[in-house]
Amino acid sequence: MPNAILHISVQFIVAISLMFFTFGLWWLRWFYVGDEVYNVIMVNTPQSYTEYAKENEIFINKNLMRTWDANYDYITFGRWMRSDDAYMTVVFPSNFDELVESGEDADILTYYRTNSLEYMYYKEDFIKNELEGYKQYIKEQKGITIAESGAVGTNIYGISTSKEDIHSAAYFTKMFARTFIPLVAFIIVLYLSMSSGTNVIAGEKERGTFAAILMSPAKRVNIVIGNILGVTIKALIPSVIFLLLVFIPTTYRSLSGVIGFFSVFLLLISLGIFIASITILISVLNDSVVSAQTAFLPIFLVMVAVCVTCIQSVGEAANFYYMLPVYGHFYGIGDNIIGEGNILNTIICLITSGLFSYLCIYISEKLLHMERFTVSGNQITDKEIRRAAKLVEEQSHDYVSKPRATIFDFKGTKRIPTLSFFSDQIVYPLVVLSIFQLLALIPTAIMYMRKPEYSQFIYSLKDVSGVPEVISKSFEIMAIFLGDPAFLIFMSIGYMGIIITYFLRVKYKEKGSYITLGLGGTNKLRNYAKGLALGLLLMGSVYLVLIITGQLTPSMPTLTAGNILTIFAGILMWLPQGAAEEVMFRGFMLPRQGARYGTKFALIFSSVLFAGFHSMNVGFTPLAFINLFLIAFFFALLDLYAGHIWYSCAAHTMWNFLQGNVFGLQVSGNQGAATLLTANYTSNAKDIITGGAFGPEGGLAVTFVTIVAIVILVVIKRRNKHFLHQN
Amino acid sequence: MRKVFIIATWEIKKIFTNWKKALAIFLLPAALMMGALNLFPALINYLATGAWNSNTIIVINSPESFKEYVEETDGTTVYKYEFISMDDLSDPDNIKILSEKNKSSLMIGFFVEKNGNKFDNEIRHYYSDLSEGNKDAKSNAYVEICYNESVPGLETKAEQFQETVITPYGDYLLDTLGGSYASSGITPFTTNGFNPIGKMLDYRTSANQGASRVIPGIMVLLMYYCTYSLVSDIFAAEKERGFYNKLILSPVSRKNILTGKLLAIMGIVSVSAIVTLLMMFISSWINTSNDAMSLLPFGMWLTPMQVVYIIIQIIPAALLMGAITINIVFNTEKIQDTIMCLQYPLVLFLFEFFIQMFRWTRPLTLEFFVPLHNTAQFTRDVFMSEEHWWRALITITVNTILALHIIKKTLRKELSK
Amino acid sequence: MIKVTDVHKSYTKNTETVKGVSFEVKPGTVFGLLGPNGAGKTTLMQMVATLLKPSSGSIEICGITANTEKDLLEIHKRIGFLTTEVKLDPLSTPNKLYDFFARLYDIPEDSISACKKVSFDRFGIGPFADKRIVELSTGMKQKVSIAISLIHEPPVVIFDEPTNGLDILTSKQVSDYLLELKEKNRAIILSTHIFSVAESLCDDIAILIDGRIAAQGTTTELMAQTSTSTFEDAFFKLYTENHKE
Repeated sequence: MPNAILHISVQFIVAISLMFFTFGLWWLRWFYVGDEVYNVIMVNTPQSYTEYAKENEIFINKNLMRTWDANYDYITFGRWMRSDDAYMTVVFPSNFDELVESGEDADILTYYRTNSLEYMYYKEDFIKNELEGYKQYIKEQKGITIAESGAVGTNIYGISTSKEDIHSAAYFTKMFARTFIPLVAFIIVLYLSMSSGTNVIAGEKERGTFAAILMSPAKRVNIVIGNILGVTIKALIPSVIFLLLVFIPTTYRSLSGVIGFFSVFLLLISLGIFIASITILISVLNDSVVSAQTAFLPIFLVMVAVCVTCIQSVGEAANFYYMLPVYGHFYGIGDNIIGEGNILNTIICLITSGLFSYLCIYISEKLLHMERFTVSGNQITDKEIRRAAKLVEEQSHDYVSKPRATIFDFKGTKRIPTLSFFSDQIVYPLVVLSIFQLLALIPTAIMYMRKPEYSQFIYSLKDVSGVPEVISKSFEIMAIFLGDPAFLIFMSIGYMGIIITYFLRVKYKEKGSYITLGLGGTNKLRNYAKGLALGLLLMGSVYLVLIITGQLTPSMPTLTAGNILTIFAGILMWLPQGAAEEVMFRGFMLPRQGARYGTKFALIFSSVLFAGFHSMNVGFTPLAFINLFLIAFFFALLDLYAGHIWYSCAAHTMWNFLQGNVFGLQVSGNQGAATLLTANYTSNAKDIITGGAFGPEGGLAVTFVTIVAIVILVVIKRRNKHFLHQN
Repeated sequence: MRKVFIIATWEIKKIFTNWKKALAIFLLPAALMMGALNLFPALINYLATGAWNSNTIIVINSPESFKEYVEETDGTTVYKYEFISMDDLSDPDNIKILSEKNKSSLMIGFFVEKNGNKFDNEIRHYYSDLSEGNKDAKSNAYVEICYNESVPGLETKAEQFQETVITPYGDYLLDTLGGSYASSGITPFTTNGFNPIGKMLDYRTSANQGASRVIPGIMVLLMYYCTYSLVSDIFAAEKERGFYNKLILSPVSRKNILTGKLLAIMGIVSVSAIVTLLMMFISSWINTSNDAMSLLPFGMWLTPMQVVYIIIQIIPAALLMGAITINIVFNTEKIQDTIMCLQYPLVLFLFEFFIQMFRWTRPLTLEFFVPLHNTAQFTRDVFMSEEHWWRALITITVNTILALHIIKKTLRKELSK
Repeated sequence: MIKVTDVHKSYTKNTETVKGVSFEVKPGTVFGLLGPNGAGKTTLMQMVATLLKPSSGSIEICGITANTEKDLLEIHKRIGFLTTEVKLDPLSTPNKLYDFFARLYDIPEDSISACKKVSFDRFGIGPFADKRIVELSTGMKQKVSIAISLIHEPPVVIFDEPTNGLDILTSKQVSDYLLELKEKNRAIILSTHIFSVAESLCDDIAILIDGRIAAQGTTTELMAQTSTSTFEDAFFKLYTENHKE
């Protein structure tokens, strides 16, 4: 016997006795209360509350009264609570008394500390006692009549359908006998069946001795039944001893006790056979002890789950359950111990479980006939060998021998299944984008919760319901954030993070060069400058089209220092933003999709994805989809001709910057906050041309300009094969 | 030291070459548990009542106002209503029969005591009394929520129902039937009308309380299961195959071989424990129905410090489990005996899990001196936000010392062979 | 090279498996240990390979006795042990196994692939280097096992029934390799119960019966000792003389 077994048994016994010991110490206050603190910090305490406290002799600690304008600034409150040993902060709106006076919405906020779960109940008590009293006090002050009783009384009561007193000791003993004892018996039988049952056939197969047994002239059914009996006996000996110990004090009483004893004995045997036959079936299905046990584990858990459900509804279950195997065994053992067993139910349970066991035996026997002779070679099944062979073959063709198109020097990587290729192309950018944008949003959101001037705005969110309202509110919030240089810088860092993840992915996962992201080429700086000029040309033409068709008239707003800072931060944000989107949708997707499915596919699919990713934005229309597709197509074509993405990176950045921070238009539904020019849509402006809330990218002006741009690009390329070509 | 790492990485890589094994170790147990936890309440409900959908509320003699209220709030609550009328309410047997028939359902009745007024009229009357300045205005209207005592968890559900439906319904009555009394600014202020952080904290409280019962046991159980299946692969099967002798004959001391393998076990088990924790986390966050009987209610949350606490005490526990299992492997001859002995602690942990489920007391400090049991108890403390650094210290020290002791003993015995 | 003096081994108190065995193996010779099943061959081999500790007596390998952990490691650097009992990890590949053991045996990182090429070419493992062990034939597995066991080119080589269960072709390859090792001046112990192997390979044969060496010498010496004409007859005669029920 290994001494670790001894160790762990002693440990277990000590642990269990200590746990039960604490149950006996329920009167010790310590078991309910830890080191909680009891102070309350009051923020912006109104005059009326102090008066109310004075009148009702509620103690208010003057040192814990603070003034603070930001109602949602839980970070500051948390700091106060930690330094002042307070468990809760109660925040009144700063003009609470006036609000109450004028009958407007006044909302008191409470925050509590996280270092004890008790504080929630403390908080609820505080609200129920102090704040409700305060409410009454205000009502009285305002001269509103208050009655002693409320309008509607509520009454919760339980209807008892059982006849016993559930608080008596006898009831407790009974419940113990009906829950704990069957549970122990079940676990003993399950565990012992598992360890011996998985060992016999599966273990013999693993050791190679099963062949000899199958070769012997014994009938298969005899092999199965013999094994089942062996397992049953092994599993039953300890559980029968356990039950005998339980029974000795009760059996002598009467005849029903004796009948009960035999019922329990029979039930146990049938349970043992039932579980053993399941184990043997699993053993036949598997080739090694470990795999058989892995397969048995779910059944073990299900059985334990069934035991728990039985415990929950003991004495209440419908009669039907008494006749089923497992349920019937559990209830039957419990009921017979306390002498309330029903012989008929027991018999039916024995029969049904016998039928189930027979089914298992039948299947096991058929399986043994079918496979005839199963001996594993080193625990490996045929399937695994086939898999391994396939894997070796796949590994030998590790690299796609001929990529269908080589874009940006990308030679192809390991071939992966089609489904995972597409999910990779779609899910990866989605995940990366959402993670980094969320990371930029969280600190900004916290920052704004700490600003007093936004408390009212946050409170107004309480009435938001329904999807359209949530979306429009979230764009309202985005508009606020976009006017904040700090957020723009967070976003800028986030976009840089996206670019870095792509670099790392290419370097460590594909083990390739960053050039395959389209970032190669000579004269990078000059190309970037050219791209900026291109962006200026494109967006400028769109703007001109809008002005010429009389859609809008520009005007110059006065610039403040804050605005200039925001515009500057905007430049910082658009730089990595354009680059990140280009890396994601052009630099990464074009070569990878191209290598697998050809250039045409890559052009179209990456553009569809680009348009699709913007479809969540506000004011999105089918026309916007077409426009975004066309823009993406133009950029992709440009990159393809150039052999790098520097032009489109720059053009993308310039396009967005001009739209958002210069011309004052929406960028794919996002309204920039600070602009050089203001766009005033004229009265005869048409959404179909201007794109409405989505910005020009949702209107025909952009369609026109991009189509012209694509046509020009293609025409020049046809005329001059060396146009844009590297070197 | 280099060789220790060579062996450790070899073992870890070996696990991942067999995807079935990797799946069985990392995901299967946790996923199964997750399923069990989420199915449990539904299953219990079904067994106790025979109905899958237990959110039906039987409304007896509903007044017009409640019907309107239900219509207006349609879709915002999980409850479905069944309106019935019953003439003779004075006979308690009638309700008893109804309750027998619909065991899992709550029943609500609208009553007006003494005078024969209708429910809505009584409320109207009450408010008009109040607006006239009558301080002794008294309403005889009340709502009765009945539940069947024999169905576990139904009482909590009744309380939940009162909180989420009946209380707002009271406010609704004031607005609709209050008349001139309602317009006199009867609610001077609200408490936590919009407080997302407070709401999250409330969710966290109930979820973490549930978690403190379930997760410690599950974590230890699954950690041991993982150790067990790893050890039976890394040691028991290797010994059986004779591969272990090959390792021994290399110029690496047995101590280093053992350390390398233990390191691998410790690493894998710790990671799998963290995966389990993550699964439990997901399991809590997808439990949006938030049934009263959920084992892991919605909104479980740990602070980063608490996560660190759990992780640093998982590692010595994994080490100790590794040590115990290795001791078993080296002290049993036949593989059947080995597996039998390896499974034995699994049963003990299962027992502990059940006791932990129904335990309501805080652990004694003495309990932190019981190896492995202390890991479960400390996890419980963390979920209850009662963690103390000195308890973490005791847990880690006790587990590490015992683990090292067992390893040393095993090694000494092994070397003397 | 290998010096075994009066070695005893008992697993339980009453029965002794090895009852005082002494022999010596010099470099460049093959020492054969011949005996029936249960004679204590494997136990003796495992003791020489330091897998088991003798109850009494001493075993000296390259002048080192395994008294301390450090001695043990020094011995491990000098011996290669091979037995048919070893089953390699079924899901691993020869390549991975070789790399793993090469690192354990402190072979410099940059020369591993060169060593591997030489060794795999010698046994023709090359084309199978990236297949899983399960997919290999028994002979190939044994070859991989040999390649891995002798990764560090040890001066002492211990073979426990190396040709057990192999076909004639593979056995031949293994025997050839043994002779090759012998020419490289290695000290080799070989345990077997196949007479032809012992006869053709061994310079010195000890016949182990019931844990004792019944006779020792070259085949001719043994035949002379027992005055029989064939080696097999010599063995049977020794067996009947020395075996007690």
